[in-house]
Amino acid sequence: MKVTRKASGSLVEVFIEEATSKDIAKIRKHPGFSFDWEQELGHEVYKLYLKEDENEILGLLSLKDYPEELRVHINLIEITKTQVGKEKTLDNIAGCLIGFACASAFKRGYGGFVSLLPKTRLIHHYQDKYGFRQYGRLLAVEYESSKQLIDKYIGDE
Amino acid sequence: MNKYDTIYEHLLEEFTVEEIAGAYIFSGDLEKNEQTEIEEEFRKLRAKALLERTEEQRLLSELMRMKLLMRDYFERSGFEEAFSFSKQLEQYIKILGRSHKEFAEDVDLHPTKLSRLLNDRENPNVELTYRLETHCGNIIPAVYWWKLLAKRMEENVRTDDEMRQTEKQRVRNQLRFSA
Repeated sequence: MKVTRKASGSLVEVFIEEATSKDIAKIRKHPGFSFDWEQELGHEVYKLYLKEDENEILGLLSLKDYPEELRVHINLIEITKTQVGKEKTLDNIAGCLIGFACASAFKRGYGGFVSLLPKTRLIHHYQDKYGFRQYGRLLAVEYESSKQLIDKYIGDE
Repeated sequence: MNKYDTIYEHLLEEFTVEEIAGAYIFSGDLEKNEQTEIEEEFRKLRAKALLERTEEQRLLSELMRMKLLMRDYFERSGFEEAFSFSKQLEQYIKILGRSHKEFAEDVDLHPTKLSRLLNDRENPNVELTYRLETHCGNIIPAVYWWKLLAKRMEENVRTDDEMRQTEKQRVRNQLRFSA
């Protein structure tokens, strides 16, 4: 899986793996993260980091599995502040985390169904950028739209 | 104002709404009864959609699952029988719901050859991996089918001591290096 260096357009390899309680303890003191990730420890929490620097967590994803509804739900995504806004040096960190969630949903036999419940003001950004569509008050991707996110952010490697 | 809303207000001091949406996903503040209402409404929609699932959606879902599980296997070390070429091909045909005869015709194989492939009495060639890639609508790339074979071959080369000993007898002028 790769993210893009904004300056050169070159691709940089990243890994996503399950975050440990030690990682979360580190995040609690990290100035780049604002949300309370200890609250997420009851869910599946994943960290994204650069292959060349595994000590620096760039982004976190909290997933909740709903096997009876055949879906995974993105509870929370947060990217470290240095990689947000105009000053960021890397692109597609959040996309990789969403693509990872889609892959998890396919692997579990959910047809790639990934849901989220965003703040109302942000809804149209997720629709435009990632192709999420309204499912009641939730947003979701599934089947082809979920596959497209995997193709775009994870690729065939 | 709940905790997430407070964080959102702080983020707005540093970033635009678009920048926040590009880096964060979190829910707004909801009352417990509102949350329950949303979930109930969603469950009904989801149940309806699952009942209306098309054959094309089922196929896409199962083939993507197959592909992504193959990819996880490639990242693990060692060979696993469940991911041999023959087992995965058998699974692929099962997902399609085609008979062996029908599938053999689809990919221009003699039924006997397909049977030999499925029973591990013959290995696939590169041409077949390209045909499989095309047959599955390019969801599983040819190289994935090839890697299934390559992992088995690698295991065989590593562990076939009998063949290693037999072939050793056929070598002359073996290079020797002093310790």
